[in-house]
Amino acid sequence: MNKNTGYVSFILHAHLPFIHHPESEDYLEEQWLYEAISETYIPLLLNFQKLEEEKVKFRLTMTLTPPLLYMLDNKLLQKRYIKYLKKHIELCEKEVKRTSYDARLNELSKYYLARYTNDLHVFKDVYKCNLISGFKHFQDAGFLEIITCGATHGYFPILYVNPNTVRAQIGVGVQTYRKYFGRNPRGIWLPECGYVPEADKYLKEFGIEYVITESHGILYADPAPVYGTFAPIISPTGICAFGRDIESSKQVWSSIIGYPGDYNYREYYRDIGYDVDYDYIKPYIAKNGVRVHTGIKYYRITSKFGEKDYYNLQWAKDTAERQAGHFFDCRIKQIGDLAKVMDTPPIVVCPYDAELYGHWWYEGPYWLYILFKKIYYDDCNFSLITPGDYIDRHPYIQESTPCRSSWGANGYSEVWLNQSNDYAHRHLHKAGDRMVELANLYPNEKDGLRKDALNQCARELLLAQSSDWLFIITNGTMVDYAKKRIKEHIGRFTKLYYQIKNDKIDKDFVKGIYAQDLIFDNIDYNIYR
Amino acid sequence: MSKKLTKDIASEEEKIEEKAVKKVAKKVSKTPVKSADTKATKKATTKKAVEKTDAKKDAKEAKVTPKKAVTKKEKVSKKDDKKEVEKETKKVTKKVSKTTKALEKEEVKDTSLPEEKPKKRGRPRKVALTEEIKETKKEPEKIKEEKTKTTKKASAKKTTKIAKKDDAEPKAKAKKVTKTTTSKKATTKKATSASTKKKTATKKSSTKKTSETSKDKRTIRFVKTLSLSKQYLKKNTAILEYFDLPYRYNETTVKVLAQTPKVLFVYWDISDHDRDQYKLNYGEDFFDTTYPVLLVKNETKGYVEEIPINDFANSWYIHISDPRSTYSIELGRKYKNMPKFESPYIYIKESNEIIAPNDHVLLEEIKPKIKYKNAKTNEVIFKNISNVIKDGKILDFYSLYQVLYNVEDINEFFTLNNPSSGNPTSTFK
Repeated sequence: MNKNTGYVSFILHAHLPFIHHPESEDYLEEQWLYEAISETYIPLLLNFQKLEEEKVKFRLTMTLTPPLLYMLDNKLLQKRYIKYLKKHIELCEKEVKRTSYDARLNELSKYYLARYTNDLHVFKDVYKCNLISGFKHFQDAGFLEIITCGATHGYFPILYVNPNTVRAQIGVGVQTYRKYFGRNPRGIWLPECGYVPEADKYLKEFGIEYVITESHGILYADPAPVYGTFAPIISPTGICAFGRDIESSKQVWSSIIGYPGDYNYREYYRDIGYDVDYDYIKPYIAKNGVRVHTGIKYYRITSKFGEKDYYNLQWAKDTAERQAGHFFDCRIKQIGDLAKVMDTPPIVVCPYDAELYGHWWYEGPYWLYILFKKIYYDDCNFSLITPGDYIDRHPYIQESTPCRSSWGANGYSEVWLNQSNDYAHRHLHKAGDRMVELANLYPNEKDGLRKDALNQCARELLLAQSSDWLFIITNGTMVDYAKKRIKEHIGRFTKLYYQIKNDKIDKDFVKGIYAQDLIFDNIDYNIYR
Repeated sequence: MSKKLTKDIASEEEKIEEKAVKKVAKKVSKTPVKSADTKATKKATTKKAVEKTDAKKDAKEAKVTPKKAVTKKEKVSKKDDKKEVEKETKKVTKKVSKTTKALEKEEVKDTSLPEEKPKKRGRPRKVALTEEIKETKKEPEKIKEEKTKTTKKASAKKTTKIAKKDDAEPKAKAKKVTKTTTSKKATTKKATSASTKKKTATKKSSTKKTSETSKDKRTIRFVKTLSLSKQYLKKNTAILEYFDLPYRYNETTVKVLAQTPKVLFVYWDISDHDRDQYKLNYGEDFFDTTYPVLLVKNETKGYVEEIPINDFANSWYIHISDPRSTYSIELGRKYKNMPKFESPYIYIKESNEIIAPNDHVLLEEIKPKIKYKNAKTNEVIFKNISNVIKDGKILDFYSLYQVLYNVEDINEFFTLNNPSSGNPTSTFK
């Protein structure tokens, strides 16, 4: 078969909201970063490394959002992650002793001990606490194409009431990318795939060539795309849009037929943090005594109902390999059928949250590794490609304006604009207007306290605009925390706004909040002008 | 950090107790010695307070009361002295209970925001959170038992030490208010245990008769402890400020957003200044005799729809008929006592424009020639449909889509319950 008949493009979107609390170690939300590093980012890097050592060529697109980059680069969080690992290693050592009565459990506990010990070695010794350098290496080596995102994942269709705020989200996102990767990004993952045509001019201004949209972002474009989601479209402004493929997404994401629901895979919700004796687990759960996930899970899904059986690593691996083969065969058939009716090679775009691979679907990184090996070694009619590569090879693209859409539930803005969180938007809009006002009132300030205060205003506004807070409120998870974050950032912004306007800037206050919101060190508030 | 704080406070308490005993003994045995009292009060007042709290007021009162006693020293009898000291201690205990109440309210309920409703499962913690809440049902009972044991032990000690616990508790809570716990149960658990302590403390202070000497001691000790703990906190902790969102910004504004292709969201406000102007122009009872209306203008198709609303709302969800149209919303008012179509309309403010998203595949609008652009050079070319569709048997784009997506009806073949990170259906259980 001819590997240039068609293409498959995997895009992994790695994002976490910026959570940094130097004042306390008690924030459970910080654990999201540690879990993601242990269960997703390190496993992905290790699998990329294996593929590189085995000389398997692959192409993968990955977003590393600015908040995630700053958190991975943060010394305090790196220290805390090491502490987190050491605690886990200590717990695993206890588990090895505790589970000595059962051979299968004991084997699993030894597996986790080896796993966390290896994570510590990889993080501290191999990458010297700098995982960003790991991803950069694979980009420089030609395996990864890393793209950027909005500065704090602000949702453009709602922020666009004040266009300057969207421009700033894009500009600061690109600036952050340049800081860590030493070049301009070719593509951007629009936060929540929230597309508005009016933002194209800002994307163009900052050198962005392509965006990723939800399926109907392409399908409902005007005029209709001739090839549906199997070819990109280009907006009148010149931004290419690639839309998610429906069939391949369902195979991975679907809660009914998706791969991660296989009975041999690890059960996410059976964690020793909840299962074992309280006094035993107390040193390893939340400091206020609330039980939390530890990451040490001994059971497999087994069935929809009934008792859970112990997890079996080999069975899980066998299942991952079988499913990689299934995905591989499905793509061969799909591309074969498409190529018969299309005059350009079809592209099957497969975007996912990176945290799906490893955190939610524990075997996901291994599944990817097997799939990439199969694509390289086995006979097939497609190859892996990035959107940037596709534009280079097939620059003539149908002109069409993508649909205003998102990849949230129901495809538009309901997740970020509903009765649980609509109260926030007037505050975000007002703060956006005030930031533009400040930037125009004090243009090009020289280095000094006022400039610091203006830059800090920009940081607070960006952090308030994070779509994560609205998302969390809608989904009813850490609602109090999300609401508190919105209040804090709007509150700090407003306080600074008045201090600047009244020329009574409190230096300690500016310093204090920068120590907490330690992000965008090189931001320039003039981006709001 | 909190353990260290309480240890340090405890050691300071012992030192202060010794000093206070000596000073109060002097005060009670003789008519108040101005220099000794004012020295004590000066110490209390010159120390800087981290926050404006009741302690500052108490320090002022402590400063004021001895002076009053000094100026009236010839007239005031021993009986009056006793009454003043009793009043002072009652005020202090009231203020402590007020402080703890206020902090409990902050911890337990945020009244400035709309109440939360139960939500569907989503990323990443919802199911885990409910499991956490279930588990904490066991633990709080044990913890409650431990807490009641400690309060019982505390009550067995002197009344002065219980008062100190109250002093320490609000400060510790003030720090904790800004922290997050994942379980509401955990916060309410803290609140109840604190309130139990407070109740025990106030009961003890009101029922037990204490001598003049011990009440004086307690008052002075309270003031000293608060100021010392504030100093300690200032040195050793970052100040965590609590913010709340303002109810309004006092400006006239109307903003519209698109929630879905068929639902718009609009919010508004009218500034006090503009309200006064309308009252000036239309009468003082303008806002009582009129009701607000939203004019929904479809700029694309050229029609306007009027929606009467009410003054209790400052936002609204509007259902529209035509996606892909440009809309703007106008806020106005009409008179209540007149039929809808006869009432004059008073304009307030117009919103921004918004384009409602599209909600279907526009296959019927595909033109015979398809426009292509070169992403690198911007060169434009046109292709005929016949060149675009490779298979000569496929004559139109409906048929092409059926082949591309392997479906019978393209309008129903995919749903918008996107299996994304935000979708509750993306959980695999």
